[in-house]
Amino acid sequence: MAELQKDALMRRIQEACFAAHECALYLDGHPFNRKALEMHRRFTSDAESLKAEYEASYGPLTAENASVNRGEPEIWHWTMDKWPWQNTED
Amino acid sequence: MWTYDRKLQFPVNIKEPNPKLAQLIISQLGGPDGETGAAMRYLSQRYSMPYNEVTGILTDIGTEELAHMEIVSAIIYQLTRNLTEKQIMDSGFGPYFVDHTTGIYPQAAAGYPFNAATFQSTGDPIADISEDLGAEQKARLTYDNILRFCDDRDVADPIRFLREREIVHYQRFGDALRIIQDNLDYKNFYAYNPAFDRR
Repeated sequence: MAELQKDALMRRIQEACFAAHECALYLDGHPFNRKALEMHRRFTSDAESLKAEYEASYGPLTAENASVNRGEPEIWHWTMDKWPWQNTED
Repeated sequence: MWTYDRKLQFPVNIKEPNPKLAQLIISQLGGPDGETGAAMRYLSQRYSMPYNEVTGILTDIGTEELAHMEIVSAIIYQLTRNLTEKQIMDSGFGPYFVDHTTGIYPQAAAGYPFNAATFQSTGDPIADISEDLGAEQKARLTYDNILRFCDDRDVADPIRFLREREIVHYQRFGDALRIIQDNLDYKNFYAYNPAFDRR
């Protein structure tokens, strides 16, 4: 159950980050498009709150956040979680 | 996945162009012991690494090597700004210029393009990390050789920084080899590949 929630949350992060990235590519060539700018703002803000929620429960998504994640951890969790290319059933 | 930060890991601000020096330094972008090979080597090797700490070391050093590609490229870019045709010919920069103008292309000082045959990803933790230790020393001595020809502090400072990072990476790969050795036992003391042969 916990794994299912973890995977579902990761899926939402992937969606929000990908949508923000698509807006960024478009905006690189269309820097004055207010609609795309607004969409980028919304997806980025969604991604930030989803990432914060994920990191609070399941561990750091970047090495940068690994010493401030889940309060102030006593150990370095960065290398302890599964790497993203490993199968979920492994 | 990766994201881009709009900052160099170490600042590069070169006032005097020097295309002759650029031709030597470009080896650390695309040469046999350059930063492109380093990044590709570590980021390729990490998938088959069975020890999580070592996978982290390969990921984080491999990522730093991408930032070093950017520093070396910035040095080449700034050393080849505002050149006259006479400067290009007199400095020996002509052959590079004909193919690439002042674009940044990963090649060795001797002119041949970046080649993935300069590194390995063997799927064997001991073989891979032993190669990585050697690679950091080879990159360090290449920076030492480049520094013999750097009179300009604007160039020497970032090169010295990159040289120092080779030494730190060598130390961290030393940690990695120790972690792998700690996972060997009396049944497998350098006897077989701990990532593949499960006996």
